[in-house]
Amino acid sequence: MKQINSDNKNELDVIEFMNQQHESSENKNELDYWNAYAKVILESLHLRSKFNFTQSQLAEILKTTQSVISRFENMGRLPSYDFLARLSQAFKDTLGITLSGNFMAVVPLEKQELVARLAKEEKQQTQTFVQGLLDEIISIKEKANLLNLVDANKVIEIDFIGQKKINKINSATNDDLISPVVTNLPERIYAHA
Amino acid sequence: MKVTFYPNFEDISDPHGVEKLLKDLKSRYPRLWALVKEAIKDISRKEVTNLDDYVKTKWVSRLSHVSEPLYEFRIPPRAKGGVVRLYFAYMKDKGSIKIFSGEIKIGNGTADAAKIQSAIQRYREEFEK
Repeated sequence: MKQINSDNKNELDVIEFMNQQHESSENKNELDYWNAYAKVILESLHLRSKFNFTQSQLAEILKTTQSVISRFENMGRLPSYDFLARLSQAFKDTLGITLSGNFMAVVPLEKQELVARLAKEEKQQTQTFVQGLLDEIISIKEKANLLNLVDANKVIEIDFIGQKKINKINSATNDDLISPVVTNLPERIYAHA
Repeated sequence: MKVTFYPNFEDISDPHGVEKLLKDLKSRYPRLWALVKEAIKDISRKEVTNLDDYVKTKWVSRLSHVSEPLYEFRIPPRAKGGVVRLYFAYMKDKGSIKIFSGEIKIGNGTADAAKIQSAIQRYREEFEK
């Protein structure tokens, strides 16, 4: 794909603009209402592409017609629970459907294979393994917060894929709180002073 | 990947402006608004050259009848309830894409030539800097 160069400062970030518009909108509730529908369409689209299904092939698996799939992907048909359940099965239970999702995390599509392999290595169900990762990372964040590691000048970047065992953070001393030193942290956690 | 758009600070009611399109979308077509917002958020999480799923499923395609390397993002590709067409180009140095113009298309019909022309004009201005 041909690309162009640009140093134009006169441009706006679409997501920032849309978020701002969304939050200040008089019909915010209505906009929010459609979010989950939009997300499930896009996720389904990516999974259909990943599984190399045409709309017709997916329709055949779901025992329906291509036009039903087309209407669903084009927001022309509100999906029933039955449709979503069968859709999820067709994608080997990888569809992450949620209605609000404020407290839900989805493993990115490109990392799912890795996570599934790691779960298998640990002889765990994928869902249990993912929940464990999430619990661990929340625990680390909580401890980092207690150690006052996260403020405007210090950033902790955490990449939790591939690192299951989390080493214990040394208990905080007064000196640590003034000038935090983190030892025995896993390699994938970096504290930038 | 950052997704930006061509602003028109002088005239926010510019009929070819992306702000106007998005504001119209928000107030008149909330369902489409949600899909456009989520689609843009989704591509912003991807690498600039990795829109394969969208190309494969015909959401993104090259505007074949213009010589400039402009692309069309159709959200969704075909729908009686309406389609949003965003005309954009890849910005090599920034790892981003920039939307130059767009339109909301309800019912049958071809793309508005004036909106594409506007995208071409803005692309040229950008490119010639």
